[in-house]
Amino acid sequence: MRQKSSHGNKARDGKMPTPPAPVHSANGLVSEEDEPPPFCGTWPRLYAAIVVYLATLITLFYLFTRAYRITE
Amino acid sequence: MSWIDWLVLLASLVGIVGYGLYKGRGSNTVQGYLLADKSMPWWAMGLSIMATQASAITFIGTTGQGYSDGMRFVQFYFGLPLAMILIAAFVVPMFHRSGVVTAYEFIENRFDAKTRVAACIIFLIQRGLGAGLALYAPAVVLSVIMGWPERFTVIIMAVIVLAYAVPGGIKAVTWTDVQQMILIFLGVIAAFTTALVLLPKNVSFGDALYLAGVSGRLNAVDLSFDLNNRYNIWSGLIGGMFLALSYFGCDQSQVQRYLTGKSIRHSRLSLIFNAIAKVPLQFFILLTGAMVFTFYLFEAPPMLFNRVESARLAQTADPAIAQQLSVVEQQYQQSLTERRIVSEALVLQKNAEVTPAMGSRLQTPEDLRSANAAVLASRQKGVELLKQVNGGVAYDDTNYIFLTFVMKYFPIGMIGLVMAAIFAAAMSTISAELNSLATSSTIDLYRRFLKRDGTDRHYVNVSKLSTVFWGIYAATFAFFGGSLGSLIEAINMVGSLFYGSLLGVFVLAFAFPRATANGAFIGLIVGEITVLATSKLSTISFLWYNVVGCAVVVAVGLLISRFEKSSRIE
Repeated sequence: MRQKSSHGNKARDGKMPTPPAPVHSANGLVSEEDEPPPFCGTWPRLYAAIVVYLATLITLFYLFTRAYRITE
Repeated sequence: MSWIDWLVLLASLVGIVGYGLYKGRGSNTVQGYLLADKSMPWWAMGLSIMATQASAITFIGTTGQGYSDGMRFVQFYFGLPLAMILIAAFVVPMFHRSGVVTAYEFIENRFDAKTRVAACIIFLIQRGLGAGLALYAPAVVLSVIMGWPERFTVIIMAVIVLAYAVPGGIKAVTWTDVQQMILIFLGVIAAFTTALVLLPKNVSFGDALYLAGVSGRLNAVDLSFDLNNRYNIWSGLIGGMFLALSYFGCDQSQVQRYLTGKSIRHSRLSLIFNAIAKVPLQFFILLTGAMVFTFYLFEAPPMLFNRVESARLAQTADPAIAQQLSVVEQQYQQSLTERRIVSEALVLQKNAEVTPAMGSRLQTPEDLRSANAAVLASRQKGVELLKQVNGGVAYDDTNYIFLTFVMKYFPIGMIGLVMAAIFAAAMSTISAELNSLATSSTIDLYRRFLKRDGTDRHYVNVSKLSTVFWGIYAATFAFFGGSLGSLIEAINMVGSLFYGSLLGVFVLAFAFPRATANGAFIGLIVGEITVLATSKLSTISFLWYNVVGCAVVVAVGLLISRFEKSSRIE
């Protein structure tokens, strides 16, 4: 399937990127599929943030396991 | 339980049923009864999705796993966030746009009726079994607490759930899920906190972690790759992702939760909420189990946690077994005493309160591991004796560990709260499962093949009758739940036998425009046969069944589709 993604407008002057402008459908309304998430600006960015979050969690759990793998 | 605990439990049950009836009123149309008129906000769906997955088994079985097997089970959930991303990105928009009521309706739109029926029947069989297991878990609770027969409590639980799920439909189910999930959060926090408070005064949280670590209970991540090892990071990430894709993407009990969303955005956010919260929640529950283990290093646990079986063994009429039991119990108590001494010494040494200069013999982590092994060995002798008494029937008391701990050591009021959380967890899962089973049998079978021109009211009534039917079906299966070992694993194993093949059909539907209806159908049949053969003939971990099933369905499906197309061209 085709996944429509709207990328945030990256500011060229070094300021924080702004959320993407909503995409309008033929009838002038914001397309339901393009409604942005409440944080991270776009859906692909939010998904990437979740992957980073998961990697961080697993790393922390691994460090936890190592810290308490007591042999001596 | 004291009257205060009973009050907490009964108030929560009455509150949930009453709230469900209130929120579910006016669900007189198919859209309202089965899809909540697509009015649900993301947070309610998110909590409902979580509550549906977190059954009473999560409480009873997972804490027991943490106690007996450590924390490695958390890896099982590592693939879940990845699956949530894929479903949010690709599956949710497809389902929303197609306007379907069930996931299997979508399969007919894409392929044909026979593939829809095959997928629907696979769902009905395995989710029906899952509902039975979810119903059985609280029956275990009451049998331990009250000594009531498990079958009687199964019937009582089914009646309570049906009391709000039948009249209120999915609105009642979802809004009570929200309430129930909040109760579950409170119950988990209460259980964890109380387990820590009950540790001996000189044992800090750090000491408890140290002892649990020495005893191999904090093994949260295992990097080794072994197909026969049930839980490691690879089976969790790959097998767990496939299982989660199947469960959240193809199982009507979950698909129906996010189909009730106000918009695609709300449905996506409900899944993202689970991607963020699920893994830490499971970690926390398993850590509670590990803390219960540490607690029992200082207090003597019963040799057998199932007190009914324990009493049966103690009352054996066989004098030879009775004599052996007396010896085994003595050995068990002796090994517990030695383990407690080693544990206390290790804590003192860790905190530098005992040094070689003081003349004490230093204990080592290896001493505690040997003491643990001795306790386990003498307990195993007791289990063998019980098996002799029971004619060789397998014994597994994983699901009794946490409840035994709660009932014996928790303060008044806290017991009621934990019990309420367990009941809430059970009710949220069972109600959602019965609701989705009824939805699928009404929409995919009854409306599709038996009566296509009925009124809205007619289909709502059929859905209500179906809910009652599936309640009876689940209760019947629950009668045989006692012989299935750890419940949490049993549910996931049953799911893994069917989920991979089901996922394969949806992957063909979503990702391969060239896949044909016959390709999907034959692929599904071959995939299911392959998974069942794999489970019988190999020793690979059940999480890999999902990968095998999905891969075979996709491969066979594409092969048949290609063959069909080339035949047509010729």
